[in-house]
Amino acid sequence: MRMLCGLSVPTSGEAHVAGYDVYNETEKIKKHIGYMSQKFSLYDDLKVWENVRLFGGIYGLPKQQIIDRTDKLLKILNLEDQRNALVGSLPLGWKQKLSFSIAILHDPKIVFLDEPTGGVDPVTRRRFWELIYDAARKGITVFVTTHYMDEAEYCDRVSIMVDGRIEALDTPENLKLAFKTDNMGDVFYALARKAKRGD
Amino acid sequence: MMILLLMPIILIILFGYAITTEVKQVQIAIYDQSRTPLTERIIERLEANEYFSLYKMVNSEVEVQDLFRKGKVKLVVVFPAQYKGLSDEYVQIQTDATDPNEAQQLAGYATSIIRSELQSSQVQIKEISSPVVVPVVHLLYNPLMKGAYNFVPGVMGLILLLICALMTSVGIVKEKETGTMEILLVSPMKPIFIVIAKMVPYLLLSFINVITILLLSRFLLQVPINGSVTLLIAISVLYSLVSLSLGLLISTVTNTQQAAMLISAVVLMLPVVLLSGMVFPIGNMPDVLQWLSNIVPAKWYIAAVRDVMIKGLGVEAVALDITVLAVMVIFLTTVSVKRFKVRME
Amino acid sequence: MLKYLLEKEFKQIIRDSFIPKLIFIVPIVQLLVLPFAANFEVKNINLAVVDHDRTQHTRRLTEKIISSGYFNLTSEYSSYREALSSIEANVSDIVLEFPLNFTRRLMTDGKSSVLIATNTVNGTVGGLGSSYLSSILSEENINTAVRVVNYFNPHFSYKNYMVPGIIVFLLTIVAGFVSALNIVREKEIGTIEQINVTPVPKGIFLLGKLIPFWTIGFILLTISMVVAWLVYGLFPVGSLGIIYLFAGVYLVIFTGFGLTISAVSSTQQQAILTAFFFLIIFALLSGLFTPISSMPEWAQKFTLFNPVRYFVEVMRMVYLKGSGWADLWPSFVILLLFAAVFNGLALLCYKKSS
Repeated sequence: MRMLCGLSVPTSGEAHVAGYDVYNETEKIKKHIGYMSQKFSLYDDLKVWENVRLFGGIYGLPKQQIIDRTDKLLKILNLEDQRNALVGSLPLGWKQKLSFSIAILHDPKIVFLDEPTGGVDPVTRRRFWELIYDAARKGITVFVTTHYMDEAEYCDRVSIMVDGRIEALDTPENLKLAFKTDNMGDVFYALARKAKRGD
Repeated sequence: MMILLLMPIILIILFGYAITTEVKQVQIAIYDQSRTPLTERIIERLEANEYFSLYKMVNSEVEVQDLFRKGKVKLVVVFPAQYKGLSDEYVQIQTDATDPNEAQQLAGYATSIIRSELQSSQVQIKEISSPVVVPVVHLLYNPLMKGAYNFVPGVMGLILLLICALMTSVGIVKEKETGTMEILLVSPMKPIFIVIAKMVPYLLLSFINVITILLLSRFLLQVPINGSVTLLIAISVLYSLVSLSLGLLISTVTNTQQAAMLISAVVLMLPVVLLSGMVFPIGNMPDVLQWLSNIVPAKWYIAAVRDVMIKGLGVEAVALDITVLAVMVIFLTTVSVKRFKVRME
Repeated sequence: MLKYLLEKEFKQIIRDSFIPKLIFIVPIVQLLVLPFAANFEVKNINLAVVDHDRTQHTRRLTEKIISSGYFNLTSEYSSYREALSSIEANVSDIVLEFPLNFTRRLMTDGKSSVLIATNTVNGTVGGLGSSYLSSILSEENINTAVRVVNYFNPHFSYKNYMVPGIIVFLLTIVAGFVSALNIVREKEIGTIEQINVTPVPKGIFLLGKLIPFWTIGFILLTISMVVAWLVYGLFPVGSLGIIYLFAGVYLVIFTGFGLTISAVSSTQQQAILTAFFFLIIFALLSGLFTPISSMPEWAQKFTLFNPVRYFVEVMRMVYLKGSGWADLWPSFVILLLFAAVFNGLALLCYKKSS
């Protein structure tokens, strides 16, 4: 994922994101993607609206648009009361939702989520996925990594990597059919058993 | 961490060679309005001297001022027109007194060179019949007046504090920040052992540094070790313990690395550089600062090292310093162990 | 884009508990303490006198020495050995011994000697002390064929000499350290990644960091100069405009220096050590504390590559001598070069991908 976002330089292979090459056109890729890392990485010492404004500004949105989108975003997230709260003071679940909303603020073609729901309860996770569906409905491709196989069920296409190689790539239904099981967990175990690397 | 081993070496070399106030090869200008054999002889003497190097002969007072303003020369000698060296005539020495000490020293050297040339030229009218007092000067302990004699103990004080206090406090606070301290504290190990384990590597590191500094200063800078090496190392270990307990104390009162660094820098480093007598003589300071300097551990350490290393005095001469340092260790350790326990409850 | 980044940095700086304190407290404390402590002015040298002769003449000489203002009479001792032990105990710095029959020999032979023994562990005090003492004693007989005129700092005030240098030192420390900690802090927290996946160009990002520190530097400079004026009555003889012009470039240099260190370090501890390492070398070899002309050849060459050296010189020249643009422009060009090099390095070292 870090290679696709242009954070790491690939050692070999070939990849295109939003039509751009990951070797030479990383800065162009960055214009068209959103990213949310597993480490929460908004600015704790900025207020909610200030974080939105900062990233809106960085992606070059016009002033009026930033203001409109901030209002809309806060409304959807039910964070209107927290507008002036420092982000550091919010509970983790809220932070994650905010972080995701900011990642898609500039209407990217594709958004990368790196284990976005670590450390929160199932209810909050469920809500988070509703946000993801909303984004997908708007036509944004959502690229998620996760360790939770129930989350994998929510996806349209799943790829399972073992030892750094893609071992399976299909819809959850087709994968379950191929491995003759009724849940993604079993698919994962079947593939993971072949792993040579210890982690 | 390489830097920690490199730092004492660089500091010793810098202090030993580069940080001196001895006057040599200072750029001067000469404004000679008479151009007689006498003035030429004096100019020659000035030029031949190791203290001065002639930047330029100038032809006007305006040019003199210009050179001063540009910072090209520190001193200008002005001979009046038709100078014959008579006692009612004056050679004028103009100095750039921006640096007062240097200016006074330069003026002193230039004056004595000119006077001695005047005397040996025997142009001076021999009306001096008053008796002559001849000072015989003995320079004790440091006859070559090397800066290193003064600075080596100071560098030791600084390095040991940097390693023991700064690195320990930042190290412990970092474990607090990242949360690993909690893991250690919930383990069945007694907290005091955890702390000791954190300190030992730094103590070893400082020991290596003391040895490095002593070897470098003995063999590279030729600073003699006149007293007992064992005593010197014993005092250094004692001082390291003071620094370690200071670092421990800082780590108990701060929660972020930045704060720990700031406190170490402002509360520890600055006083050591300023108030310990390492660089600046304590005797010159106003009373408040002189009084304050007594609570700076480095002051006592540096004084003790000077006494033992350079003056070659024995243990009785440094008994007071050792006692003060020992009291500091006991006091600081008690306070920080108390605070450390409080924090865990 | 830059506007939003600047907004962010300024808000963060204001909300930080550490930087505002650093900006206001540290300079004031340093400016109040340093010039008093960093005092090489050689006064109050402790003098021990051993007078074996005890005549009116020796007493008159002793009085004359004390009244010169450089010496404190600690005590009179009856033997050289006792006086020497007072040096060992750090009670006195210099021993002056008048031998028996000093006065009589002076009258009969027209010549007599005294013994001066000085503690030269501190070379400056020892050296200057003994030369003052010698010159006071020999003034007795040499008629003055030389007259000394001292410019720019005629009262030999060591504070006038140190304060402009200390202001430079402060700017260097604050700009260097605060910027060195900055990027690496974002690395430790992880926020830098969120910035790195955006299309923000490196140059704009660094500029967003640089401008706030630059502003802080100017505030610091202004505070320092006001303190210098109020406390020490020191106001630049030359133009304020020149000081600010040079400071502007100088701050860019050290912010770039700090950002470079920040970009190559992975922890704050590492960044602070690296910054400390370089800053101490820069400070010691800048002529701030000891004259550059006293350094050995290699060290003098090194100072040519030390930006601190140039700004210390410029500040002292503008403050005390009133030097103007015509005298200082070569230093300005050199400082501009440094600014380009350090910031180029920062740009080169800061990588958006690993």
